[in-house]
Amino acid sequence: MVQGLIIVAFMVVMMILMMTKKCPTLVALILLVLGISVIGGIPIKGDNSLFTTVITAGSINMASSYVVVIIASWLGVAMNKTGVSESIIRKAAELGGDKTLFVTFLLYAVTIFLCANINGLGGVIMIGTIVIPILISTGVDKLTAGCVMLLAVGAGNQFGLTRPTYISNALGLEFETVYTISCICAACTVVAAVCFILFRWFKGGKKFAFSAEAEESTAKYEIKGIRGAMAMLTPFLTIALVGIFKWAVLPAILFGLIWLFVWTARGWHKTCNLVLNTCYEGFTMGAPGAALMIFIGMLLKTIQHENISTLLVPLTNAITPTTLIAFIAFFALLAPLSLYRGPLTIYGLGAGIAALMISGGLLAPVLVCVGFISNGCLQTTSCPTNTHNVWVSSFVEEDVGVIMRKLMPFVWTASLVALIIGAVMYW
Amino acid sequence: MTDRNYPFPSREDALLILQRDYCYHKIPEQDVQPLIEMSWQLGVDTARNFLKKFPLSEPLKFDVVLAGEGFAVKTEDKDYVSGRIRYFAEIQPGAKVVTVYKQSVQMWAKKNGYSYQQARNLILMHEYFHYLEMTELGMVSKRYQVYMLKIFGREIGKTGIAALSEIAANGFAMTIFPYALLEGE
Repeated sequence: MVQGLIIVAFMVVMMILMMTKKCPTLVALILLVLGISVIGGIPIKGDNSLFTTVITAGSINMASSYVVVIIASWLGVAMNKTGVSESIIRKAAELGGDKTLFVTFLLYAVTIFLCANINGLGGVIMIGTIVIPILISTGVDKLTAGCVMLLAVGAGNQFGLTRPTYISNALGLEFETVYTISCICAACTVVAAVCFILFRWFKGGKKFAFSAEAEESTAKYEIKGIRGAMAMLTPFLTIALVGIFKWAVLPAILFGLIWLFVWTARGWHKTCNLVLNTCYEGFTMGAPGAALMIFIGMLLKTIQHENISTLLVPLTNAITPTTLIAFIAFFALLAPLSLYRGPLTIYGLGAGIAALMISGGLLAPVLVCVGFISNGCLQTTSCPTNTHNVWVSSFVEEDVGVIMRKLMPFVWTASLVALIIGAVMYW
Repeated sequence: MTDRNYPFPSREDALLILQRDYCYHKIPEQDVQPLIEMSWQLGVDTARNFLKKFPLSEPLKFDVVLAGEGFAVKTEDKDYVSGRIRYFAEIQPGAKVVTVYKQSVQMWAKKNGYSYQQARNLILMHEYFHYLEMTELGMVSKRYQVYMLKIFGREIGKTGIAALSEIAANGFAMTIFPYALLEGE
């Protein structure tokens, strides 16, 4: 019991260090793995030890997730380098013309699909530097433009394939089940975004500006004709292959890559160079997410080790809600703990806590998933520690905390609705 | 023609403004010049009507004109660039807020040989026209419509050209500017 409480105290300290930005998540994960192993008395060597089970097996525990992250990053970079992302965004702006509200909704929808296919800050920057200025130039105020981008990143993350792959891997659930819940969250985020856009529109209306080009346009690839149209289907195709035709995630993304390179091919050598360059750049861009997953895999193995789970499961069971109302109240009220790298962040300590709740057996694994995934509406769009939130707020010259406060009423409600739908479906 | 990065809102630069519109390529070539003329003239006519309402014994100060319409005129001491576009000032008629980006305007003033106050006044005139569009004139951008989407030669939907509002606002500002030349700082 004492050991268990010391482990909990250690986890709380590490969580505070993460929330106060004293310790990066990656470093905190390494310290958590080592600290919990030492306190819980996991042997260093031999069978079922720190070296074999925690580090060696743990490092590949999430392999299928981080491979998806890396390959999806490759697709994201390839779509940007070939000009496909930019062409889709510009087509949406052309379509709307002077109808600011319509352009906002169109760009929001398009950005969701683009963000469903990208990973990491680099991808968000590539899309954001195109989408946000277009929104501003068509008459959206800069705060709303930044928030629209973040709401699209959030919905795209949930609608995309990488996040549900990771969560199904971390919680040991079928991909289809997790993807269904994730799509419910995405839908709730979209409804929240529509409400937010309409609220901002009726509050301030269209904005006009006296403006001029600050620098010359540096248009790169030009996507046009039938080949261009086919290339622009890429982000929609990968989602459709998984969502409608039930392909596995990795083959769908690889097919998307091949599809893209075929329709944008410009001779053998140029295309080979493009394949190589985008591959290396994509792998680099996916590296931070992949690194995090390697150590989350180790943390999960640590928490699931019998020495640790026997200490922590009784403590987790003491706080696990066991009725429908208590379940909804518990996760709805604690949803903000998914912000600032808090204990409900599924990309961090939350993965370990979710694993403990599943081990406790008081809640079905799918319900634990609903509880932790539903706060994604809040976390993916509003958390001030998300690198994409920091970048977007800096790009539109607003404080990251102000953006969080503007979005909170909408996305917290979205989390609650997603939670209720999930709970009613699976209780 | 003026520096395209710090454009003086002249009649000659209207084509550049139209070409920057996302829907420019949807406008038939023969319509381009008449459209510019129509928009510019609308701005000029609106300015003439506006001038009839004001005594011209002293220069028009648009800080005062806008404040009289209930606007909060804010000044942010920065050069505001987003993407490839530099913003000098913005107006949100629905929220009754005008924001002037001081450093951007200072750079514009220097390039065009005016004082900051003169440049600010000219830019506020331009913004004031958008307020008139929203309240009295109707949107100039809607006076010419192009298709939204073209599939297999079939045109679907209609939308306006946002740049026409900007050209008309420039026509308005350029007509009033001689009556509103403030002394230099």
